[in-house]
Amino acid sequence: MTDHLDDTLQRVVDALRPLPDVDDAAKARVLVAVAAERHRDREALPKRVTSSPRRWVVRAVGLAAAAVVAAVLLRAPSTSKEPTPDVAAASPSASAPNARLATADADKGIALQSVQLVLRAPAASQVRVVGDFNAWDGNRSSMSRDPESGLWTATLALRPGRHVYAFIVDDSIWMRDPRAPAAADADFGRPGSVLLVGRP
Amino acid sequence: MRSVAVILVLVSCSAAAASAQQVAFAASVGAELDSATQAVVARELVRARERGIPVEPLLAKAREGRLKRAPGERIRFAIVALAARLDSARGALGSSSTLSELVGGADAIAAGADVAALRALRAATTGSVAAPVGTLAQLCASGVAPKRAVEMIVALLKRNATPTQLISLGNQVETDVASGLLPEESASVRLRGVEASLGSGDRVQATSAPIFNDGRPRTTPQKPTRRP
Repeated sequence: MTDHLDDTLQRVVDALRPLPDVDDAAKARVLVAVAAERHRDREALPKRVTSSPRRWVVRAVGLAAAAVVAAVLLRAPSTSKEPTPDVAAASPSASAPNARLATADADKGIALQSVQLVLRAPAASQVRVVGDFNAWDGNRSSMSRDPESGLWTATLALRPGRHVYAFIVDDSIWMRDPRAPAAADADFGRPGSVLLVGRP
Repeated sequence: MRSVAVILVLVSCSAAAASAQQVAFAASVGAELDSATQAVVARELVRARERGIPVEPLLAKAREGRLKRAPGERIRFAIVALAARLDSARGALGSSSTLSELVGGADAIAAGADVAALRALRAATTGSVAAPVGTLAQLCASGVAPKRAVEMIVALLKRNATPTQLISLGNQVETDVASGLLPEESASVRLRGVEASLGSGDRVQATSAPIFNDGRPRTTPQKPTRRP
């Protein structure tokens, strides 16, 4: 009897264990909602701070001291006027902050919007999307292949405005989005695609 | 007092981490560049940091050039030019400008606006000018004359247009121009659209010349209304 219950229980546990599938659009909606929530939290922060004058003093002193420490730390490497190719030649180990996303929250009234990019590349084994929104870092925006359609897709949370992007197929092929207008490239002569976010 | 010590330690760690991350990012960008380009990138990063200019856009530009397999010479030129634009934008917008504001300002300069235009936008609002300078860049790149673009944006800022409305204006004009409309006529029509959404009030002077559907300005005088 006990064994029978254990087996039943095990089957129930096994049935409940797998996580449900979550589509990319849902993930993007969650990301946007979290970003908005953080934005609201930041706006609410001063109200909490003003309720405690002692915290103000402590934080002000802390920030002032922090500024001094940060200035010293950031200034140290800049004392040398010579180029530092040895630093630039070191092995990569970290990615850059996403400039546009990092500052988007600071711009009041501008919420990130979910955008899905799609590419048909049936022969590709890997596709990445690069653009100004990820500081042209392909390591941070891999696309996934939709199992049913075979299309490559990525859903991004972007700030409204004009973005330029392209796809990198199999780490070697630069590819414009065939369904988006071309973005002229005065610097390098290799056009990307234009993505306008925030059209009414 | 203990709180202060804790904050000090935390910020020291985060500042060091940020600096380390920056160096590591520079390393990742520079790893595939030739030595001359590496040297220019490093030099421009040092200069930028000394002048209080953000280095992230310069690193992103180097990475973009590398991804596009551009020759080292073009990458060097692009980075030096971008650093100069960021410097000009900082001079016009102020030393406390945010990264978004400086990048937008640099984009606007690249699209044909001058520092006087950026100063005009800074003077027109006490808030962030990230959206205004971004819109200026977009309008100029779409073919709207910089002076006209500044007039439009300043007028909208005076009427408390939101960043979202400004961004929409830029997107609409770019879309219109891409589909064949003339930049000036699109700008006028779209500006009126934003004005309408702002409600009643004095119309912006720049929109006083109405445009027919065919894009020609109205030349015939309107028939006077008959009084009872």
